[in-house]
Amino acid sequence: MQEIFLNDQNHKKAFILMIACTLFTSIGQLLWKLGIVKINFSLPLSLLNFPFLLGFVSYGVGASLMILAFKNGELSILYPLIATSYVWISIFSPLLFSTDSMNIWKWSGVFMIVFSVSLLGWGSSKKDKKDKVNKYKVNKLNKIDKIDNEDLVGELNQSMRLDESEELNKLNELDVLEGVKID
Amino acid sequence: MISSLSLIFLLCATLLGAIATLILKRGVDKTKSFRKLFKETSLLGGFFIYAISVVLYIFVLRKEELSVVYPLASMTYIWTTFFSVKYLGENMNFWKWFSLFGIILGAFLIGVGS
Repeated sequence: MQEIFLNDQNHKKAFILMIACTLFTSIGQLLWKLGIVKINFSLPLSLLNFPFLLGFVSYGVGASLMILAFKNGELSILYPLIATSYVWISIFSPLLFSTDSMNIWKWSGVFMIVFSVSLLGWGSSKKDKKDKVNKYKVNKLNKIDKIDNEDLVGELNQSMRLDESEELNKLNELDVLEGVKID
Repeated sequence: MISSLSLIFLLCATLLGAIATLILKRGVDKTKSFRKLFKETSLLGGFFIYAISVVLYIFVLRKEELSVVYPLASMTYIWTTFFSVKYLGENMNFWKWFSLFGIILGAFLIGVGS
């Protein structure tokens, strides 16, 4: 089993990257749709038309952004964000193609996705704070566990208690004391 | 409504898409630095599997209506979430479930409107 190096998670950054990714993949899809009409299979060179190729580039940029986003967050939080591409396409496609139009269904779908994505964002930032606090606590506890000498353990415990105000300051810094449950 | 072949294609496409994403995520998690990302071969594997799923999607979209394809395509989100819990050790909680269903519902609504 190969070593998995868990990167520090920063869901805010991952979110921005994912939303940007969906923007580029949506633009890529729209460019493809623009370019595909120009393609005539009996004329292979027609494949090299501008919107079609640009669509690939846009898609590539989107894929790279997604990879970068994955470095910073969980899949179960980030992958549903791909639905944002539905939002972009619903908004931009009617502007580019006269056959497409917005209607009440699409608007409610867009609203639902935007709402769910916002909920995901809110929940993930709470998770990040909670993870930071737990990591900080685990680090502190590890310093005690690693020591065999009982006297030293006693001393460290003492210093931990004295450091309670320091811990509170740290938690304040992390902006965590606002209703986040720490178990 | 929808041909069984298209259904099978969609099932495979969604599964392959989820597997591809899982491979990509694992590959990214393994790399410690930005430079090593380019050397990570599993990323190529992930993209290749994703390309196969795209081909299947194109087949289906030529035949079927968007209003049917969009909701079924959102199965990918369910597969991906399932894989991430089983193989990546992630945890689910209420807001994740709620957002997931909200997104699937949103995709369904957009499909109906298309």
